[in-house]
Amino acid sequence: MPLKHKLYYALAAFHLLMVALYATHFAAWGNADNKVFDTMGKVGKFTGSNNIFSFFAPGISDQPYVVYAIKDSTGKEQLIDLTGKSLDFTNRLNNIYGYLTLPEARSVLSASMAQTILNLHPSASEIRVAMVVQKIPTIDEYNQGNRVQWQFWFQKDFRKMYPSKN
Amino acid sequence: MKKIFTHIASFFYAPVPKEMLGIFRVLVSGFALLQLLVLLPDWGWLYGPKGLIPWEISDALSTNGAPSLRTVSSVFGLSQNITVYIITTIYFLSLGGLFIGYKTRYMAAVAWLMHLIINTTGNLTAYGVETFTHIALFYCMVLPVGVSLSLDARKKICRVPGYLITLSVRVIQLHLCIMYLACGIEKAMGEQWWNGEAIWIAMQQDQFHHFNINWMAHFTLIPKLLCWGTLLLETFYPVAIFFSKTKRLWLAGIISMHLFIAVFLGLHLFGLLMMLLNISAFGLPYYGASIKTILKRCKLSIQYIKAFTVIKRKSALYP
Repeated sequence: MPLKHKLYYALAAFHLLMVALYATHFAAWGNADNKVFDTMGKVGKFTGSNNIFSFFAPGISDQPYVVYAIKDSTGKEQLIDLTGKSLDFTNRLNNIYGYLTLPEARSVLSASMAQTILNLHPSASEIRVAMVVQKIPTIDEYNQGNRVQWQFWFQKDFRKMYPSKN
Repeated sequence: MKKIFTHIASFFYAPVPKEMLGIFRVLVSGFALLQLLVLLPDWGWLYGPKGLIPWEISDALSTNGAPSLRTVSSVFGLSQNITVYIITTIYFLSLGGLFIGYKTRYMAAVAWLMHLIINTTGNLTAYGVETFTHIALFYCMVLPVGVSLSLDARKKICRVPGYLITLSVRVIQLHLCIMYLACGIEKAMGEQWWNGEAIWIAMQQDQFHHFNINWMAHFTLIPKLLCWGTLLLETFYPVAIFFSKTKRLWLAGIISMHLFIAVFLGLHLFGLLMMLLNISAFGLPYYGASIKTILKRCKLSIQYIKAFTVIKRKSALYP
């Protein structure tokens, strides 16, 4: 076997080692704020070896949902349900809503979503972005008569500063 | 000890059918094309400059320094909308090239880069399906996936040594093994996967609520069995998928699990991609012989039908 091919084997071994390390949440082990970790993370981003695979693990958290309420200059209110045209749109939208549960991302993401809805409804002058969370009862609770509940999480109000061009 | 080394050497050097890599390429690129077409009606929302998340914000929240649509737009001085059209078109064409195996490695490299750019911009909307598409496209770029079922393979003699084909297939297989093992262990650390609540909660959530499963509350063993089955399939995947007595059962089990995810949780693209990755990584050696037998029987049946039709026609002509 030529040296080049031996090198391929070594690279493959290193790649799989990285996959295994990141799968065990390697980045969260200790002080990840150094050049080695940073380089590994960047390499991993390009090669797909820096992923964690916590799909539905260790458990399933409550599902967040966002309700948009717009108001036009006459004070008329309307509730908006944001939906897309493709089958996968809702899955991707829910991903954004997942990030909205993080307090540090909340302001900027809710402002982005508000902007999107205001662009869709040019006559609207104000918007309220409210997040609710779906609480699912356990099987035992369900059998005792409890049902799905929506709990209020947070809300943010935005007002259009300039009239829409549309 | 010597026996173990022999087994390891055989695992990494013994020849495997090169068609496995061809099937991997066709299925991955075919899937990516399908995904592009499915998402196209919402493409502007997901990746456009004035989409759900404006570029400035998605770039600011992206932590990896990978190129984004905004980077391309500013580097080449293109308008933002034109950038989206150009990158999407290049992505589509490169996937087409990869699918038919024309200049395979270049096409794979371009497809991988375009996918990276698009998903750096859409990182907040991306979920597991994008993770695995990215991994699969990376493998299409670095592994010799054009050795079979491709235009490139028709033009020239395959110069890739057998052991490199084996190494390539093993890398894909072992990546899947690591992923399922990690998934299984992480799930097993949560109580919900032991008492059956995980399936119950997932299927009750509005996001995944495609079927009414309220009846499960009266048959608590069913969600428990589904959860335990998932834990079993995922945690023991790295061993059972290679063990001769369990490999076919495990492959069928894991494909069924992803089919369940696609149908009952509405994660169609994710479920489909995972099924295709498993089929391409393990399907041919495990079910290749059975498929060949079925195809042979189909061919024979067609020949019988043709012969029967000809006899019937002749008997009608000469009563």
